[in-house]
Amino acid sequence: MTAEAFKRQLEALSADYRRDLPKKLALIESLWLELAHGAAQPSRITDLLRELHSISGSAKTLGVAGVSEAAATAESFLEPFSKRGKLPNAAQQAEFVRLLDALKRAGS
Amino acid sequence: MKVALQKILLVEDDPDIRTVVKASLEMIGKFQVCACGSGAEAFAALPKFGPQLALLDVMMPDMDGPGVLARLRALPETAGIPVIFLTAKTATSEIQRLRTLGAAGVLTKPFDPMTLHQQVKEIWEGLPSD
Repeated sequence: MTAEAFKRQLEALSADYRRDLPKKLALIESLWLELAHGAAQPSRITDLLRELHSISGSAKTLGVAGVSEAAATAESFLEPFSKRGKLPNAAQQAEFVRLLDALKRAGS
Repeated sequence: MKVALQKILLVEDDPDIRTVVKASLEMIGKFQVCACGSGAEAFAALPKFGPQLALLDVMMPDMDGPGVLARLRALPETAGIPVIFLTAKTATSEIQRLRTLGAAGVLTKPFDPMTLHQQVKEIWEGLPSD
């Protein structure tokens, strides 16, 4: 196996990742909507944070740099609320929705 | 002379990253990699695999990377295995915190899959010989 063979495998992995990305982003949106509408306990922010963290760490490695950056921004915004186990207030929620929109745009 | 690095234990819960790291280390680095999705899986695989080095994701559910490191250090047969952390948190304070836990190195995500093997090898070669 050579670096060339690995490059080809990486391209294939990147294509798979891009194909699956809408599902990952949909999961993030769904988690957020559950939280924002009171259908999930505030402690589930941790789950949302984990999904954002996962994308921020993986997207650039797999060739979708903009998504990594947008996910990292949303993760940083949400992290203090996760630590407190508390939802953002209305204004902060609006800001988070804006960050999620940016993430979706980066992934489209 | 330092023994060549051959066997690496990878613990990473994200399947995408796990696949890329394993392929990079095996295909370019020519290492043998035992890839596990959790600390529990890793400790089940450890006795048979006998890694020389562990590459651990930091943020994982159940047992996180520092938790895996602590458990490695607590067992006589694994206490000496050097650990490299892989983290998406790139703040200097976080990297310093991981180093103070006893990590041989800290690599940050996102990373370049084409050069990851070289970074791991450099950390290994910088470690004191047995």
